[in-house]
Amino acid sequence: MTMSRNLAYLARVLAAGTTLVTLVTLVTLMTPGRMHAQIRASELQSVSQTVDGTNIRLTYSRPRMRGRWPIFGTKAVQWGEVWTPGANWATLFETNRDISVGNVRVPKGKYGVWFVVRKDSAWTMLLDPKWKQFHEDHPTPKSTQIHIPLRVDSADVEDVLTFSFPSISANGGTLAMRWARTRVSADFTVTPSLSDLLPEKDAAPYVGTYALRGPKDKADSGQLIVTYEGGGLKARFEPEDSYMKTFALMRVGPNVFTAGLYEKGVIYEVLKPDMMFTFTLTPGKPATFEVRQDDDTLEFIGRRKP
Amino acid sequence: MSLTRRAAIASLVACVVPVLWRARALRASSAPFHPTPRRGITGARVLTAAQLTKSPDLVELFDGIRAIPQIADGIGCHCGCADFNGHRSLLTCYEAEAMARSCPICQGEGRVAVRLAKAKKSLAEIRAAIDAQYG
Repeated sequence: MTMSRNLAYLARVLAAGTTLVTLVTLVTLMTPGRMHAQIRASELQSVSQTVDGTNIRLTYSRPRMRGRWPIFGTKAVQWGEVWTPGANWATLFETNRDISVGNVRVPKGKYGVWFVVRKDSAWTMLLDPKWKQFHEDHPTPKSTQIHIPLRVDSADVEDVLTFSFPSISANGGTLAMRWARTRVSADFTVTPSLSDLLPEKDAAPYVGTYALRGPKDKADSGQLIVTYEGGGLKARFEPEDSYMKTFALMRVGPNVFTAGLYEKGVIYEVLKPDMMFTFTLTPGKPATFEVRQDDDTLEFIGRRKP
Repeated sequence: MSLTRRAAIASLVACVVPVLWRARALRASSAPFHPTPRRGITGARVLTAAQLTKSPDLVELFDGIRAIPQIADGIGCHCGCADFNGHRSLLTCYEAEAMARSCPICQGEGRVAVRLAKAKKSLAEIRAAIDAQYG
Protein backbone atom coordinates (compact mmCIF):
# COMPACT_ATOMS: atom_id res chain seq x y z
CA MET A 1 0.00 0.00 0.00
CA THR A 2 2.74 2.38 1.02
CA MET A 3 4.74 1.33 -2.02
CA SER A 4 1.90 2.14 -4.46
CA ARG A 5 1.31 5.54 -2.78
CA ASN A 6 4.98 6.34 -3.20
CA LEU A 7 4.87 5.36 -6.87
CA ALA A 8 1.79 7.53 -7.45
CA TYR A 9 3.53 10.45 -5.73
CA LEU A 10 6.62 9.92 -7.88
CA ALA A 11 4.48 9.88 -11.05
CA ARG A 12 2.83 13.19 -10.04
CA VAL A 13 6.23 14.77 -9.36
CA LEU A 14 7.57 13.59 -12.72
CA ALA A 15 4.44 14.87 -14.51
CA ALA A 16 4.77 18.25 -12.78
CA GLY A 17 8.46 18.35 -13.65
CA THR A 18 7.72 17.59 -17.31
CA THR A 19 5.08 20.34 -17.39
CA LEU A 20 7.54 22.80 -15.85
CA VAL A 21 10.25 21.91 -18.38
CA THR A 22 7.74 22.29 -21.21
CA LEU A 23 6.63 25.71 -19.92
CA VAL A 24 10.21 26.96 -19.57
CA THR A 25 10.99 25.72 -23.08
CA LEU A 26 7.94 27.44 -24.54
CA VAL A 27 8.68 30.74 -22.78
CA THR A 28 12.28 30.57 -24.02
CA LEU A 29 11.19 29.88 -27.59
CA MET A 30 8.56 32.64 -27.51
CA THR A 31 11.11 35.30 -26.59
CA PRO A 32 13.70 34.90 -29.31
CA GLY A 33 16.82 37.01 -29.33
CA ARG A 34 16.39 38.58 -25.92
CA MET A 35 19.54 36.93 -24.70
CA HIS A 36 21.56 38.16 -27.72
CA ALA A 37 20.62 41.83 -27.98
CA GLN A 38 22.54 43.96 -25.53
CA ILE A 39 23.35 47.63 -25.39
CA ARG A 40 27.03 48.02 -24.66
CA ALA A 41 29.03 51.04 -23.56
CA SER A 42 31.63 50.02 -26.13
CA GLU A 43 29.98 48.59 -29.22
CA LEU A 44 31.79 46.19 -31.49
CA GLN A 45 33.19 47.25 -34.87
CA SER A 46 35.24 45.62 -37.57
CA VAL A 47 37.16 47.55 -40.25
CA SER A 48 39.19 46.04 -43.03
CA GLN A 49 41.20 47.14 -46.03
CA THR A 50 42.40 45.17 -49.01
CA VAL A 51 45.53 46.29 -50.87
CA ASP A 52 46.77 44.20 -53.80
CA GLY A 53 45.11 41.07 -52.42
CA THR A 54 46.36 41.54 -48.85
CA ASN A 55 43.49 41.98 -46.38
CA ILE A 56 44.05 43.70 -43.04
CA ARG A 57 41.22 43.64 -40.50
CA LEU A 58 40.78 45.13 -37.04
CA THR A 59 37.97 44.01 -34.74
CA TYR A 60 37.48 45.98 -31.56
CA SER A 61 35.02 47.33 -29.04
CA ARG A 62 34.73 51.13 -29.26
CA PRO A 63 34.80 53.02 -25.94
CA ARG A 64 33.17 56.48 -25.86
CA MET A 65 34.50 59.46 -23.91
CA ARG A 66 31.28 59.78 -21.85
CA GLY A 67 32.37 63.06 -20.29
CA ARG A 68 35.87 61.88 -19.48
CA TRP A 69 38.41 64.50 -20.44
CA PRO A 70 41.23 64.17 -21.08
CA ILE A 71 41.55 60.45 -21.74
CA PHE A 72 45.30 59.88 -21.95
CA GLY A 73 47.41 60.48 -18.86
CA THR A 74 44.44 60.00 -16.54
CA LYS A 75 42.76 57.13 -14.74
CA ALA A 76 41.17 56.11 -18.02
CA VAL A 77 44.53 55.45 -19.73
CA GLN A 78 47.63 56.13 -17.68
CA TRP A 79 51.05 57.15 -19.01
CA GLY A 80 53.28 54.11 -19.27
CA GLU A 81 50.33 51.77 -19.43
CA VAL A 82 50.26 48.85 -21.86
CA TRP A 83 46.74 49.48 -23.07
CA THR A 84 44.60 47.82 -25.69
CA PRO A 85 43.08 50.48 -27.96
CA GLY A 86 39.52 49.36 -27.42
CA ALA A 87 37.46 47.83 -24.66
CA ASN A 88 36.45 44.41 -23.36
CA TRP A 89 38.60 41.90 -25.29
CA ALA A 90 41.92 43.10 -26.71
CA THR A 91 41.64 44.64 -30.17
CA LEU A 92 42.20 41.96 -32.80
CA PHE A 93 44.52 42.55 -35.78
CA GLU A 94 44.44 40.07 -38.68
CA THR A 95 46.37 39.94 -41.93
CA ASN A 96 46.06 37.20 -44.54
CA ARG A 97 49.60 37.77 -45.91
CA ASP A 98 52.92 38.95 -44.54
CA ILE A 99 53.10 42.74 -44.37
CA SER A 100 55.35 45.44 -42.99
CA VAL A 101 54.02 47.97 -40.46
CA GLY A 102 56.25 50.89 -39.53
CA ASN A 103 59.09 49.07 -41.36
CA VAL A 104 58.65 46.06 -39.06
CA ARG A 105 57.76 42.69 -40.62
CA VAL A 106 54.45 41.23 -39.49
CA PRO A 107 53.86 37.60 -40.57
CA LYS A 108 50.32 36.71 -41.62
CA GLY A 109 48.12 35.75 -38.68
CA LYS A 110 46.09 37.03 -35.75
CA TYR A 111 47.39 39.34 -33.05
CA GLY A 112 46.14 41.14 -29.98
CA VAL A 113 46.86 44.88 -30.27
CA TRP A 114 48.36 46.81 -27.38
CA PHE A 115 49.80 50.33 -27.23
CA VAL A 116 52.57 51.39 -24.87
CA VAL A 117 51.25 54.86 -24.04
CA ARG A 118 53.93 57.43 -23.19
CA LYS A 119 53.73 61.10 -22.30
CA ASP A 120 57.02 62.45 -23.66
CA SER A 121 58.22 59.89 -26.18
CA ALA A 122 56.96 57.90 -29.10
CA TRP A 123 54.28 55.32 -28.56
CA THR A 124 54.79 51.69 -29.47
CA MET A 125 52.31 49.20 -30.87
CA LEU A 126 52.73 45.71 -29.52
CA LEU A 127 51.25 42.87 -31.57
CA ASP A 128 50.83 39.78 -29.42
CA PRO A 129 50.25 36.37 -31.06
CA LYS A 130 48.25 35.51 -27.95
CA TRP A 131 45.33 37.51 -29.36
CA LYS A 132 42.46 36.46 -27.10
CA GLN A 133 43.10 38.44 -23.92
CA PHE A 134 40.80 40.56 -21.78
CA HIS A 135 41.71 44.24 -21.64
CA GLU A 136 42.68 44.05 -17.97
CA ASP A 137 44.92 41.04 -18.61
CA HIS A 138 47.94 43.03 -19.79
CA PRO A 139 50.46 40.98 -21.78
CA THR A 140 53.79 40.06 -20.28
CA PRO A 141 56.89 40.65 -22.45
CA LYS A 142 57.65 37.77 -24.80
CA SER A 143 60.04 37.36 -27.70
CA THR A 144 57.14 36.49 -30.00
CA GLN A 145 55.60 39.95 -29.62
CA ILE A 146 56.18 42.45 -32.39
CA HIS A 147 57.06 46.04 -31.46
CA ILE A 148 56.16 48.79 -33.94
CA PRO A 149 56.93 52.51 -33.55
CA LEU A 150 53.89 54.80 -33.87
CA ARG A 151 53.44 58.44 -34.82
CA VAL A 152 51.40 60.46 -32.34
CA ASP A 153 49.84 63.85 -33.04
CA SER A 154 46.72 65.78 -32.18
CA ALA A 155 43.52 66.10 -34.18
CA ASP A 156 39.91 67.23 -33.85
CA VAL A 157 37.96 65.62 -31.01
CA GLU A 158 36.79 62.08 -31.76
CA ASP A 159 34.24 60.95 -29.18
CA VAL A 160 34.38 57.26 -30.05
CA LEU A 161 37.66 55.37 -30.41
CA THR A 162 38.01 54.81 -34.14
CA PHE A 163 40.39 52.81 -36.33
CA SER A 164 40.64 53.73 -40.00
CA PHE A 165 42.80 53.55 -43.11
CA PRO A 166 43.06 57.25 -44.05
CA SER A 167 45.42 56.76 -46.99
CA ILE A 168 45.94 53.96 -49.50
CA SER A 169 48.47 53.42 -52.28
CA ALA A 170 49.15 50.59 -54.73
CA ASN A 171 51.39 48.82 -52.22
CA GLY A 172 50.30 50.00 -48.80
CA GLY A 173 48.65 52.71 -46.77
CA THR A 174 48.25 54.15 -43.31
CA LEU A 175 46.55 52.61 -40.31
CA ALA A 176 45.31 55.15 -37.78
CA MET A 177 43.53 55.25 -34.44
CA ARG A 178 41.79 58.34 -33.11
CA TRP A 179 40.30 59.01 -29.71
CA ALA A 180 39.73 62.28 -27.89
CA ARG A 181 42.29 64.65 -29.45
CA THR A 182 44.92 62.00 -30.05
CA ARG A 183 45.74 60.47 -33.42
CA VAL A 184 48.14 57.52 -33.62
CA SER A 185 49.26 56.10 -36.95
CA ALA A 186 51.71 53.84 -38.74
CA ASP A 187 52.34 53.21 -42.42
CA PHE A 188 52.12 49.68 -43.78
CA THR A 189 53.28 48.05 -47.00
CA VAL A 190 52.15 44.82 -48.59
CA THR A 191 54.11 42.40 -50.76
CA PRO A 192 53.45 43.51 -54.36
CA SER A 193 51.96 40.81 -56.58
CA LEU A 194 53.49 42.36 -59.72
CA SER A 195 56.52 44.47 -60.58
CA ASP A 196 57.14 47.06 -63.28
CA LEU A 197 60.81 46.03 -63.33
CA LEU A 198 62.21 43.58 -65.86
CA PRO A 199 65.83 42.69 -66.73
CA GLU A 200 66.87 44.38 -69.98
CA LYS A 201 67.67 41.10 -71.74
CA ASP A 202 64.18 39.79 -70.95
CA ALA A 203 62.60 43.03 -72.14
CA ALA A 204 64.56 43.39 -75.39
CA PRO A 205 62.39 41.08 -77.57
CA TYR A 206 59.33 43.28 -76.98
CA VAL A 207 60.87 46.71 -77.59
CA GLY A 208 59.76 48.45 -80.80
CA THR A 209 56.97 50.32 -82.52
CA TYR A 210 53.82 48.35 -83.25
CA ALA A 211 51.10 49.21 -85.76
CA LEU A 212 47.64 48.77 -84.22
CA ARG A 213 44.52 47.48 -85.87
CA GLY A 214 41.08 46.68 -84.44
CA PRO A 215 39.63 43.23 -85.22
CA LYS A 216 37.20 44.69 -87.78
CA ASP A 217 39.42 47.50 -89.06
CA LYS A 218 40.79 47.42 -92.58
CA ALA A 219 43.56 49.90 -91.84
CA ASP A 220 45.89 50.66 -88.94
CA SER A 221 44.37 52.95 -86.34
CA GLY A 222 47.51 54.05 -84.51
CA GLN A 223 50.65 52.66 -82.96
CA LEU A 224 52.09 51.53 -79.66
CA ILE A 225 55.65 52.50 -78.84
CA VAL A 226 57.36 50.11 -76.43
CA THR A 227 60.66 51.20 -74.88
CA TYR A 228 62.96 50.09 -72.08
CA GLU A 229 63.23 52.80 -69.43
CA GLY A 230 63.79 52.92 -65.70
CA GLY A 231 64.48 49.20 -65.48
CA GLY A 232 61.27 48.07 -67.15
CA LEU A 233 59.10 48.11 -70.26
CA LYS A 234 57.18 51.33 -70.87
CA ALA A 235 54.55 51.87 -73.53
CA ARG A 236 52.47 54.71 -74.94
CA PHE A 237 49.83 54.93 -77.62
CA GLU A 238 49.95 57.28 -80.60
CA PRO A 239 47.67 59.13 -80.74
CA GLU A 240 48.09 59.50 -76.99
CA ASP A 241 45.58 57.90 -74.65
CA SER A 242 44.96 60.66 -72.09
CA TYR A 243 43.95 58.14 -69.40
CA MET A 244 46.83 55.71 -69.79
CA LYS A 245 49.55 58.13 -70.91
CA THR A 246 52.92 56.34 -70.57
CA PHE A 247 52.27 53.07 -68.76
CA ALA A 248 54.26 50.07 -67.60
CA LEU A 249 54.02 46.73 -69.36
CA MET A 250 54.10 44.39 -66.36
CA ARG A 251 54.85 40.74 -67.04
CA VAL A 252 52.26 38.34 -65.62
CA GLY A 253 53.16 35.18 -67.51
CA PRO A 254 55.27 33.89 -70.40
CA ASN A 255 54.83 36.55 -73.14
CA VAL A 256 51.80 37.95 -71.28
CA PHE A 257 51.75 41.50 -69.91
CA THR A 258 49.25 43.87 -68.38
CA ALA A 259 49.23 47.67 -68.10
CA GLY A 260 50.30 49.49 -64.95
CA LEU A 261 49.24 53.14 -64.80
CA TYR A 262 51.47 55.77 -63.19
CA GLU A 263 50.75 58.81 -61.11
CA LYS A 264 53.79 60.88 -60.17
CA GLY A 265 56.05 58.00 -61.11
CA VAL A 266 54.29 55.44 -58.90
CA ILE A 267 51.95 52.68 -60.08
CA TYR A 268 48.44 53.38 -58.84
CA GLU A 269 46.36 50.97 -60.91
CA VAL A 270 47.02 47.70 -62.72
CA LEU A 271 44.59 46.81 -65.52
CA LYS A 272 44.47 43.08 -64.84
CA PRO A 273 42.40 41.22 -66.02
CA ASP A 274 40.88 44.08 -68.08
CA MET A 275 43.76 44.70 -70.50
CA MET A 276 46.06 41.80 -71.32
CA PHE A 277 48.83 41.97 -73.92
CA THR A 278 49.78 38.52 -75.26
CA PHE A 279 52.86 38.60 -77.51
CA THR A 280 53.85 36.07 -80.14
CA LEU A 281 57.57 35.92 -80.88
CA THR A 282 58.38 33.77 -83.89
CA PRO A 283 61.98 33.71 -85.20
CA GLY A 284 62.17 35.32 -88.63
CA LYS A 285 58.79 37.04 -88.25
CA PRO A 286 57.89 40.42 -86.76
CA ALA A 287 56.63 40.25 -83.21
CA THR A 288 52.87 40.59 -82.80
CA PHE A 289 50.50 40.94 -79.87
CA GLU A 290 46.82 40.74 -79.08
CA VAL A 291 45.10 42.90 -76.49
CA ARG A 292 42.11 41.27 -74.86
CA GLN A 293 39.64 42.45 -72.23
CA ASP A 294 38.48 40.61 -69.10
CA ASP A 295 35.70 38.91 -71.07
CA ASP A 296 38.30 37.77 -73.63
CA THR A 297 37.05 40.22 -76.26
CA LEU A 298 39.80 41.03 -78.74
CA GLU A 299 40.39 44.79 -78.58
CA PHE A 300 43.18 45.17 -81.12
CA ILE A 301 46.20 43.52 -82.67
CA GLY A 302 49.74 44.94 -82.81
CA ARG A 303 52.38 44.13 -85.41
CA ARG A 304 55.96 45.35 -84.99
CA LYS A 305 57.09 47.73 -87.69
CA PRO A 306 60.42 47.05 -89.43
CA MET B 1 58.73 -18.16 -34.38
CA SER B 2 55.34 -17.60 -36.06
CA LEU B 3 54.31 -15.29 -33.20
CA THR B 4 57.52 -13.30 -33.59
CA ARG B 5 56.96 -12.84 -37.33
CA ARG B 6 53.40 -11.69 -36.68
CA ALA B 7 54.64 -9.27 -34.06
CA ALA B 8 57.26 -7.96 -36.44
CA ILE B 9 54.66 -7.41 -39.18
CA ALA B 10 52.36 -5.70 -36.68
CA SER B 11 55.19 -3.39 -35.59
CA LEU B 12 56.03 -2.60 -39.19
CA VAL B 13 52.39 -1.76 -39.96
CA ALA B 14 52.17 0.34 -36.79
CA CYS B 15 55.22 2.33 -37.89
CA VAL B 16 54.51 2.66 -41.59
CA VAL B 17 50.77 3.42 -41.59
CA PRO B 18 51.03 6.68 -39.59
CA VAL B 19 53.91 7.81 -41.80
CA LEU B 20 51.92 7.10 -44.97
CA TRP B 21 48.84 8.75 -43.45
CA ARG B 22 50.87 11.85 -42.57
CA ALA B 23 52.38 11.97 -46.06
CA ARG B 24 48.88 11.76 -47.55
CA ALA B 25 47.70 14.60 -45.32
CA LEU B 26 50.70 16.71 -46.33
CA ARG B 27 50.00 16.04 -50.02
CA ALA B 28 46.38 17.08 -49.50
CA SER B 29 47.35 20.32 -47.73
CA SER B 30 49.72 21.35 -50.52
CA ALA B 31 47.38 20.29 -53.33
CA PRO B 32 47.99 22.11 -56.62
CA PHE B 33 45.51 24.83 -57.57
CA HIS B 34 44.44 23.15 -60.80
CA PRO B 35 42.70 19.76 -60.41
CA THR B 36 43.52 16.70 -62.46
CA PRO B 37 40.71 16.08 -64.97
CA ARG B 38 38.56 13.09 -64.05
CA ARG B 39 38.89 10.16 -66.41
CA GLY B 40 35.78 9.80 -68.58
CA ILE B 41 34.34 13.15 -67.53
CA THR B 42 31.64 14.52 -69.84
CA GLY B 43 29.88 17.83 -70.28
CA ALA B 44 26.46 16.23 -69.82
CA ARG B 45 25.69 18.34 -66.74
CA VAL B 46 26.59 21.67 -68.36
CA LEU B 47 23.47 23.83 -68.64
CA THR B 48 21.73 23.83 -72.01
CA ALA B 49 19.99 26.57 -73.97
CA ALA B 50 16.70 25.40 -72.46
CA GLN B 51 18.13 26.10 -68.99
CA LEU B 52 19.58 29.48 -70.01
CA THR B 53 16.44 31.20 -71.26
CA LYS B 54 17.19 34.25 -69.08
CA SER B 55 20.75 34.51 -70.43
CA PRO B 56 20.60 33.69 -74.16
CA ASP B 57 23.89 35.50 -74.74
CA LEU B 58 25.65 32.86 -72.64
CA VAL B 59 24.41 29.83 -74.60
CA GLU B 60 27.38 29.83 -76.97
CA LEU B 61 29.83 29.95 -74.06
CA PHE B 62 28.10 27.09 -72.20
CA ASP B 63 28.00 25.06 -75.43
CA GLY B 64 31.74 25.71 -75.83
CA ILE B 65 32.46 24.42 -72.30
CA ARG B 66 30.27 21.37 -72.87
CA ALA B 67 32.51 20.48 -75.80
CA ILE B 68 35.75 20.55 -73.75
CA PRO B 69 34.96 18.80 -70.42
CA GLN B 70 38.41 17.19 -70.23
CA ILE B 71 39.95 20.70 -70.37
CA ALA B 72 37.44 22.56 -68.16
CA ASP B 73 37.69 19.85 -65.49
CA GLY B 74 41.44 20.42 -65.28
CA ILE B 75 41.21 24.14 -64.53
CA GLY B 76 40.77 25.70 -61.10
CA CYS B 77 38.59 28.80 -60.92
CA HIS B 78 40.12 32.02 -59.53
CA CYS B 79 36.85 33.73 -58.54
CA GLY B 80 36.77 32.18 -55.08
CA CYS B 81 34.08 29.59 -55.82
CA ALA B 82 36.71 26.87 -55.38
CA ASP B 83 36.22 27.32 -51.62
CA PHE B 84 32.59 26.18 -51.81
CA ASN B 85 31.64 22.65 -50.89
CA GLY B 86 31.16 20.42 -53.89
CA HIS B 87 33.11 22.68 -56.21
CA ARG B 88 35.79 20.89 -58.21
CA SER B 89 36.83 22.76 -61.34
CA LEU B 90 35.85 25.35 -63.94
CA LEU B 91 33.48 22.74 -65.32
CA THR B 92 31.51 22.93 -62.03
CA CYS B 93 30.95 26.65 -62.68
CA TYR B 94 28.87 25.67 -65.71
CA GLU B 95 26.84 22.89 -64.05
CA ALA B 96 23.78 22.80 -61.78
CA GLU B 97 23.68 26.17 -59.96
CA ALA B 98 26.17 27.36 -62.58
CA MET B 99 27.97 30.32 -61.07
CA ALA B 100 29.08 31.22 -64.63
CA ARG B 101 25.54 32.49 -65.28
CA SER B 102 26.45 35.62 -63.32
CA CYS B 103 30.18 35.61 -62.48
CA PRO B 104 32.33 37.55 -64.98
CA ILE B 105 35.48 35.72 -63.88
CA CYS B 106 33.97 32.25 -64.48
CA GLN B 107 32.78 33.54 -67.87
CA GLY B 108 36.12 35.11 -68.80
CA GLU B 109 38.08 31.99 -67.83
CA GLY B 110 35.61 29.87 -69.80
CA ARG B 111 35.99 32.03 -72.91
CA VAL B 112 39.80 31.85 -72.71
CA ALA B 113 39.61 28.06 -72.28
CA VAL B 114 37.26 27.60 -75.24
CA ARG B 115 39.28 29.89 -77.53
CA LEU B 116 42.64 28.34 -76.68
CA ALA B 117 41.27 24.79 -76.88
CA LYS B 118 40.04 25.58 -80.39
CA ALA B 119 43.57 26.82 -81.16
CA LYS B 120 44.83 23.35 -80.12
CA LYS B 121 46.65 24.67 -77.05
CA SER B 122 47.51 22.14 -74.34
CA LEU B 123 45.88 22.05 -70.92
CA ALA B 124 49.13 23.38 -69.42
CA GLU B 125 49.16 26.34 -71.82
CA ILE B 126 45.50 27.11 -71.13
CA ARG B 127 46.08 26.96 -67.37
CA ALA B 128 49.07 29.35 -67.75
CA ALA B 129 47.00 31.84 -69.77
CA ILE B 130 44.17 31.78 -67.23
CA ASP B 131 46.58 32.13 -64.30
CA ALA B 132 48.28 35.11 -66.00
CA GLN B 133 45.02 36.96 -66.49
CA TYR B 134 42.87 35.96 -63.52
CA GLY B 135 45.29 34.51 -60.96
